[in-house]
Amino acid sequence: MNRREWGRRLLGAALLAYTALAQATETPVWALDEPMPLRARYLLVGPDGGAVSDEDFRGRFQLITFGYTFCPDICPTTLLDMAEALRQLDGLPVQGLFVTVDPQRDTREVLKTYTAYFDPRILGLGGSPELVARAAANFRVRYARVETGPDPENYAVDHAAGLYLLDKDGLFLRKFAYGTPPAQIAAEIRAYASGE
Amino acid sequence: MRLRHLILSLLLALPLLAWAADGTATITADAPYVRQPPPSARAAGAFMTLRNTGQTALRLVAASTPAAGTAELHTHHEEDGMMKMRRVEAIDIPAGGEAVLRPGGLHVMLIDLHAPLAEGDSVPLTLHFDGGASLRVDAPVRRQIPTADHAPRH
Repeated sequence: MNRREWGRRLLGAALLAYTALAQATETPVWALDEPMPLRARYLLVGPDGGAVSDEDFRGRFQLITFGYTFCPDICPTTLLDMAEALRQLDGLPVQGLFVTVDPQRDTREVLKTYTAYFDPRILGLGGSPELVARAAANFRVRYARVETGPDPENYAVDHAAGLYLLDKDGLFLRKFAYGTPPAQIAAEIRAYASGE
Repeated sequence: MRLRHLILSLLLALPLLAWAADGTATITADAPYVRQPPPSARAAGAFMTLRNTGQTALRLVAASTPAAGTAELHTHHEEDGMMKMRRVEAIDIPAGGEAVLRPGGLHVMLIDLHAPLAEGDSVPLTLHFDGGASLRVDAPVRRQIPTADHAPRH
């Protein structure tokens, strides 16, 4: 085989690889008009300082919300509704989780006191800003720190509200919009549980 | 002297009224309350309905309270799938109209609470209006109840 033929073969292989690559990128697994399914994975730090991940709650539904304790209105309402849904679902294996999007201010102690106020069964999860960012990205939860007043310490955090429901295998089932009545949330979880 | 004290304390005991120049009450704060914050929270929201019975529009421009380091006027809105809380310069109360401060919307944000607020506590608020009028409001601390069925979505 001479040099020229090598060159041709190499070019051919490169073209073939390029075409395959182009096809791979042009043929998405999910149709473009359908939202990609949520990859509901997280690795965060729990109230006792140990790592907590989505895999720790296999066999239980997970009801998850993102927020921050400085939030005076949206987050308490969401957690109140979560607590009420848990109360109505008493007996069903459902884990309530509050993931902070403000890990700098929401220390473990702060989170523990905060979640216990609503329901001692709700766990507050935090960790390094990087861990929180990764968890939020997986849930496609966007958040952004915003200064609202003259004191930079009293910043607010814009964030996606609502509750995320995972099944007993940790797979994302659905999102409940902010303001969904707890009775409706409880009824849907009960329906999922009975339909297994 | 005593009588003056008495009159003074009587005046102070009428906190829900602001007085226009002609001496008529023009603004009231109905059903004021502070939403009880969880024990570790540094901030709390105060809500009420401000009613302007006068002939001229009023603007709420500031609030103050001895219970917290700062009180700011805030609102919430949803944008790009995110709940955003923003400071507002003023809350307008049109002549003969009202402004509703309620969860999910306008509120007085109490920041850096000096002490945890318990249900049944009363938080003194002073609302300052454009033009110098002010209104004293005692807002009881209330524990919020969960969203009711058929509640309006925000």
